[in-house]
Amino acid sequence: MKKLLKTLSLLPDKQDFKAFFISFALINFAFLHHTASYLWGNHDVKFIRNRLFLDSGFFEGRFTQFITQNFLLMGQILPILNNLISFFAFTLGLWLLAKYWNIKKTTLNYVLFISFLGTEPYTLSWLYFSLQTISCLQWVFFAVLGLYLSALIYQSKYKFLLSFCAILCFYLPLGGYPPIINTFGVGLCGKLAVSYLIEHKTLKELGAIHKYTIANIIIACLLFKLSLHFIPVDNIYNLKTTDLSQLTAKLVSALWFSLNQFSVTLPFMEYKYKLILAAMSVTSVICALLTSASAKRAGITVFFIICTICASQTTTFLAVSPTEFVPRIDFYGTGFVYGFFLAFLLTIGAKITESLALLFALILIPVNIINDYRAQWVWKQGFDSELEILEKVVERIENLPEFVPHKSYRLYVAGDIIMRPQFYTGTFRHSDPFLLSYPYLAMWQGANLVEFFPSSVNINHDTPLLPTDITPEVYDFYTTQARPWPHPTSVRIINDVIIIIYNNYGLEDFKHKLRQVRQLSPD
Amino acid sequence: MQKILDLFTLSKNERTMWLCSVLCLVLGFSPLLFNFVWGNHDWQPIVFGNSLTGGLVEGRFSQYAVQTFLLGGKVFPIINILLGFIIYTLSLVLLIHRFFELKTSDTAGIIFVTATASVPFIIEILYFHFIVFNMLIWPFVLVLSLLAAKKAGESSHYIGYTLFCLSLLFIVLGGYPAAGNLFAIATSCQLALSYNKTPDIKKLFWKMLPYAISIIIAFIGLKYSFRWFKAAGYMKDMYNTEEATMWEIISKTPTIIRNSLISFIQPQPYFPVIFKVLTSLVFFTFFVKYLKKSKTIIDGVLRFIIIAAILLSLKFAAWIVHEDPENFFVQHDPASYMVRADFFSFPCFLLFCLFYLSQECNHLRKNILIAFSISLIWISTFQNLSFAKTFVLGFRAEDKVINRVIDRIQQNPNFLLGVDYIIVQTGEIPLRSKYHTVNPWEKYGYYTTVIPYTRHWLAHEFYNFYPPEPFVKKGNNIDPSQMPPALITFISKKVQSWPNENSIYVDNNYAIIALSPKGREMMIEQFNALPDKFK
Repeated sequence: MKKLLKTLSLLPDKQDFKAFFISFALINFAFLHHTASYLWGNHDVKFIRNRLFLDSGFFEGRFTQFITQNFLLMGQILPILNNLISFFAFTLGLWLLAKYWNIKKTTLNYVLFISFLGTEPYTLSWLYFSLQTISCLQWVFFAVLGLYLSALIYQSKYKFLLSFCAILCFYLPLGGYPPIINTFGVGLCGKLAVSYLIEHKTLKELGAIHKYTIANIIIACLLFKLSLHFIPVDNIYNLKTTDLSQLTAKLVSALWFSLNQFSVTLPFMEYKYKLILAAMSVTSVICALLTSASAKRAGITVFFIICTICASQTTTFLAVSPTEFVPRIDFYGTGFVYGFFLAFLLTIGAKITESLALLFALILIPVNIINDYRAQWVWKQGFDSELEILEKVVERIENLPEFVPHKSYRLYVAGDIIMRPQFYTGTFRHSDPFLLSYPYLAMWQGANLVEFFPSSVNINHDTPLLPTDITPEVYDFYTTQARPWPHPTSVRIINDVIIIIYNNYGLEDFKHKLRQVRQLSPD
Repeated sequence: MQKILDLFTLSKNERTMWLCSVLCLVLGFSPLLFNFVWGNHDWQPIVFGNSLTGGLVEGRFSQYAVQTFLLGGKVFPIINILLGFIIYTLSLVLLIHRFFELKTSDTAGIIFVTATASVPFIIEILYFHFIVFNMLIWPFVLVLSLLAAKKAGESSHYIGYTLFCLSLLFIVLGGYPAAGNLFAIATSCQLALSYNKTPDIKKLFWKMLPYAISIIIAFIGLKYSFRWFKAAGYMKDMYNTEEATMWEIISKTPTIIRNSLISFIQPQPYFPVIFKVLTSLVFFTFFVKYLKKSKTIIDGVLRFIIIAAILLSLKFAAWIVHEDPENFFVQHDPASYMVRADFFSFPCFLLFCLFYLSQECNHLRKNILIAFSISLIWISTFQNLSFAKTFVLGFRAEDKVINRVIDRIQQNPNFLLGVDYIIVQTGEIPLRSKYHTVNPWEKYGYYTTVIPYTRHWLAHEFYNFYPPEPFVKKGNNIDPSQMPPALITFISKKVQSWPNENSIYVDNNYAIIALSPKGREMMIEQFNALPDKFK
């Protein structure tokens, strides 16, 4: 093992260990409140009680999503360990990226780079759903390992073996979460920029080295598409790719989003924060231009930098559903673009650029951590408030005279209760469900939520509310008398159906559905 | 004095073993450290602490001695568990390096001790917060006792050391008799080791005599102290204080050996198949290696007897306790599989086997053993976390029920402020198991997955816990001759189970709660069994 790692230049030395553990500690510190509080998102409810299975992600084409969770934790979502494993794999991936991008090796440089990238608020978006945290943070490691191994093929005599491993490293993350393709793109283009400007490689040499990377990524993508044919995938939104006829229009919009991503503010990433990030990015480009030996070299470097920026929107370009400015997708792209700019400053090697990198990192890492803590506070308050409401709703159900303990009920929930935004005071241009606006009490998770704590509520998960349940009395009640929570009429039991109306929007939507049912009914 | 100090001076490697073991336990049980949650006997000790004589009622005269001395008998968040971990892991280090004197390479030693410390046998000990500190301290006192017995065989102060060993063992047995498992298994393992070194039976007899004397006299002393406590009215006749007769012990022997062997392979909650496979491979490899050393038939027979002694020692408490088919806790099945009794035997045996095998094996096999141990650390840690998760979620769920029942009682129009109520809670709602994914092969786990936080007979403790003014008095009997007509109507005609509005009855003396359908049925059955004059 040691020999193999040495051959691949992957055997960590003392400096690597030190940098890794300091960064790992810092990343854990940034998300400590989340780790210690054991929060979970609305998709997690069922899996917190039970477990994840290998095929739990098949329905949306994520056939490798829960391999690690099953292998390491028998599919359980465990407090503390879930985050620790995720951050361990993520830190490892970033350490490898520091090596891949050839950042000047000092403990400080590595710590700055890894900690900056690891603590960016984009990481938060993968903490909302606990079931995906391990899976989606570990893909960074696989992606970077794939890039790293691909770059070694050119000089190695084990070309086939390395290619096979690299393809596997690209294929597994694609099968777990396809937007990881953004990291492939940013990582590769970033490497081209660094190699061209700082390692003084020629374009020919770059082509010779990195043709394997491109080939491996393409093979992995084709294998991924092929695999989807053998997996029982539902026809869901996030697997649809752009038609060939739409590609040009998509390219233009993806380019536009690439530029826009520097200015769009998001929850916990407000304009001042974005401004500092933009300043670092611009400084990095200027430094690159100033250190270029010739105008031609500067021009080509700028081209590679633009490619790096644009690669961060690969998913937006390829996918039909809108994915621009979604932090969990930007985690694989935009986050790494910022990381690339810091890496660039650290790699150029001039004293002034190193000082600038240090300055930016020393400003940005604390700001990252503060933003992370703001988010965690908001999340915890939201989580606790929503669970308290859930408790009251359950109490209301159990206190209804019609309620028979342990009887099997069907459940219909109209609307959500979203408490996180109540505790957030920042301003942003583009909201995000995972960072802020998703409810913990999501209407479609009602059955799992209502059953989570109490002992006597038993929900039939298989049969929904049926048109036959809408008697004239039910229709009249919900179109004229019902009011949303906490009004006494917001929770009712009608025969074997529990109906909960959380908010006005839900009530209006329910009324609309009732009217539709009535129009369709033969009476 | 210097010699004694040397005995407890840890080398750098030993300190690393100790630290790693503590960290591993802290990681595995961090949700219990961050969240102050407790078991069903803890409601009062959490508030009032433990008194020095608090355990006398079941003959546990020394149960709170160390806790009273060090923590004033209090039950604190973090401290009780953390101190317990620190002392327990120290005892493992001393046990292997000072008592067994088994050594291996530094890294292997750290891995083996950490693997042993992390095995989930500790989970049942952590359920009751009020005894966790005491329970984790007994291994340390037992190791001191074992060291004294060992010293007796080696020094000229034979009687002095034997008496010291006996006293320490007696104190531990007075705290938790099942802790004697550790003394028994460590003695058997020491016998196995000593027989390897000196197969001379006479020498072996004198060497092992202090252990035998200590264990026999300590248990006889315990038996007579129980009699004395009972005669003096300090102690109740409890199911777990009756020892078996000699004939019972002999007749139970094959069953106990069988139970020990079944324990190696039987998956239990938080002890998945893979865990059992790994540990039983270690145990059976030890047995095979040990038997393979026999040179003659007699030698083989003696080794076979030693192995039988090890198997009996693993379930020592279950072997010597009087079996009562009427009482769930002292039937050989499940009593033989109680994780908290196994806590005092299996980790010790595992530690012994790992070190023993690492000395006997070649380089490759030693590496396999290390890989096994690393896997064990991983499996144990996430199983410990899984236990902690179900513990915390189950506690929260049941806590919500209690608070709602209190609300319901106090909002009842008949409720009178300032009255000390007799609360009768029939039935229980154990909710921990909701958060535990059951493995199809697993058996047993009453304390680890089922037992509720709100036992019906401790109602006065938890219903008084949260309200600003206590409103429940101790004792939960309804006097049939004093039953008001409304209560008779409630039980005979109206009662429904929680959360129905007719699950609660309140007057100016009684508050009755039918918490589960089973509890409701029990209440009606008991009422129907009353003579007609009371109905």
